Amino acid sequence: MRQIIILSIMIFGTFVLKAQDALPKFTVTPSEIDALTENVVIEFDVTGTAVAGLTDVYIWSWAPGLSPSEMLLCYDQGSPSWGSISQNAKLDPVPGQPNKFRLTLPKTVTRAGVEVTFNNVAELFGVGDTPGKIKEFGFLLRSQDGSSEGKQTPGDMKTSITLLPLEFESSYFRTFPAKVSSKDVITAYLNLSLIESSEDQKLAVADEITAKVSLLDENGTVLLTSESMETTFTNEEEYAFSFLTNMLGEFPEGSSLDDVTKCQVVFSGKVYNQDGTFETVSSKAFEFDFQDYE
Amino acid sequence: MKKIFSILFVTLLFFSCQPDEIPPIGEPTDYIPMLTGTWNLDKFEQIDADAESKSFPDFATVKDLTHVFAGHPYTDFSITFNADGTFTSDAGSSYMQMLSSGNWDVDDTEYPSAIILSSGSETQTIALSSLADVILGKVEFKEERKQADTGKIKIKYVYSLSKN
Repeated sequence: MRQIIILSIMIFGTFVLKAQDALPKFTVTPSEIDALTENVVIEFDVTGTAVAGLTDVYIWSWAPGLSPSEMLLCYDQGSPSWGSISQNAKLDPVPGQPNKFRLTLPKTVTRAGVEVTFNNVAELFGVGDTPGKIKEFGFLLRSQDGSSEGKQTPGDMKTSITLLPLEFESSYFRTFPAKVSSKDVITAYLNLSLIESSEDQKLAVADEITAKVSLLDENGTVLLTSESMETTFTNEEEYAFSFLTNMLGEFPEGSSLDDVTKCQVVFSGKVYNQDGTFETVSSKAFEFDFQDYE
Repeated sequence: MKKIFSILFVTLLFFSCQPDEIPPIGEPTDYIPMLTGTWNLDKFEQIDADAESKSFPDFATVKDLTHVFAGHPYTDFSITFNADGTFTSDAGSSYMQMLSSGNWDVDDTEYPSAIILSSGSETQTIALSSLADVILGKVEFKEERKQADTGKIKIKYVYSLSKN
């Protein structure tokens, strides 16, 4: 009997710990922002996370490529220090909802004895004059003393926000328009001159590049995958193809375009051997979310 | 004598400054007969509004979709606005999504900015991008796709049509 009780406690404890490992959920308003977008609200739901139940929740945030990479709210002066987070990083509780907190811009704080107002994400990271430097930022939510930050570590991008670009930059993969809904004409581009190091480099010399599109629901379940589609080679030396989601194929019974929230694109090409045989090489699956447009 | 001349000069000057009578304005343009008829799609373009606002290069801002789907050109599309207020549209082999028949009207008869198509309970509003060349048999329709939470325009579609 004692063993059963101990076992039960262990199993229950495992579930409790697992529940507290959850990453915070968050919403960004407006849903698409760039480094200069004003009146941004990020709302966090910490239910099930390591900081659930705390009255005071702090944000520790970083932007890859910046130096220092930490958000200016995290420290008052000098260099950021994990052990002495600024009070400015304390999130505003959402009234009546104990596990919900907000970061609202503009935000006025006192840093090094001077009142400062941050109007946008670029200013939050000290790059208001060079906003193109920040492309995305990651964050974790923690207690003031840093003892409760869950499974996240500073610098990882498990919870992150990607910003719309301010200047056009060529990339390995892109769509046109950059953000689309499931009801728009979508053109996907692959620039093999910018092939990523993690890819099979044979793809860079492959011929007859084709692409397949998969439509996914919010759980990441693939609802349908298209046949291979031919691509064209553009003046910008990208492989491109266009599609409408309703021309990709039949949805399985019980699902429809209304269930689709994400899209994956995989490009493939043929690499010919000297004896005339060939092998097919594929890219990784490029995934993007569909937007809610009216 | 010099005083009389001065008074006469000032009086003449005063009356010469009276405003001219404003000529009557012509009748407002009646666009309905100009829109009536069959219109064929010549060009179909898609614009990324974010890219446009940031002056991205053309290839990252505008895409000509007219012949983007092989075997399904958007030039197959035509729409006929009849004088009795009805319309029919024919997508042909294109993927154009527009009501196929019903009634049509404009939002403002003097200064139309949109054509309203209706069929039963369904309504489709087609914004008019430009009516400047309607007298020459050219018209531009536009469709704006807006972000649901902010109402910000994200994607624009421009349909250039010419009259049969």
